[in-house]
Amino acid sequence: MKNRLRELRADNNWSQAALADQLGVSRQTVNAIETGKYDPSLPLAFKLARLFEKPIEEIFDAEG
Amino acid sequence: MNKSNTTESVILFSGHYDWRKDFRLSLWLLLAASSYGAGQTWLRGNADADLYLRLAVGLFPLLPLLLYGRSWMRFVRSLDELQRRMQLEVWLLASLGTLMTGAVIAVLNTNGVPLGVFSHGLGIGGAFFIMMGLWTVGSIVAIRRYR
Repeated sequence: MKNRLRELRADNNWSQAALADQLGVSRQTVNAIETGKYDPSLPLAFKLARLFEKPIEEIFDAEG
Repeated sequence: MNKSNTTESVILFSGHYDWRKDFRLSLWLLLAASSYGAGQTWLRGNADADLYLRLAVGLFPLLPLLLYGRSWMRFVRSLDELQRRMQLEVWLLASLGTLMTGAVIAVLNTNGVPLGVFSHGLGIGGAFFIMMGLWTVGSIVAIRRYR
């Protein structure tokens, strides 16, 4: 599943560690999501959506 | 927001090793290993002791081992979702690897192949050593994969 996490994080000038801290996950988790090695759970996807104030479909592309 | 624990915090030389976390996790293991060693020494020197006392001494290390399992469950619960998935895969590898090693040793023993210290099977010490070895290797691979 493709996502725009890296782009959105860069827009906010956040490091992976800073984003991980806000989500309550490890930096490796943020990196694994960004590189497409790991698809987050639904609760974590909602947390991301709330944090970036965007609908989930704007962050994740299920077709990708 | 609380920072999530990571597998790296309990792996030596990982760059993020935290001896306090490792100590909290491994304390009961140290107690299990030392009570096992002391118990075996006592059993060798007291072959004529009461059967129930011998059984109690022989089985006592299972109690700290059980508490070691509880420490692990607490540690795994403190991990985030990716780290938990990594641990699930790594423990599966370690358990299956140990089971298969034990089965191979049993087959070799049954067919008279000389195996030295394993001539009476893998034993609890051997099983634990192999399991933790596989856990360490599997964890390092998983950490590198998601670095």
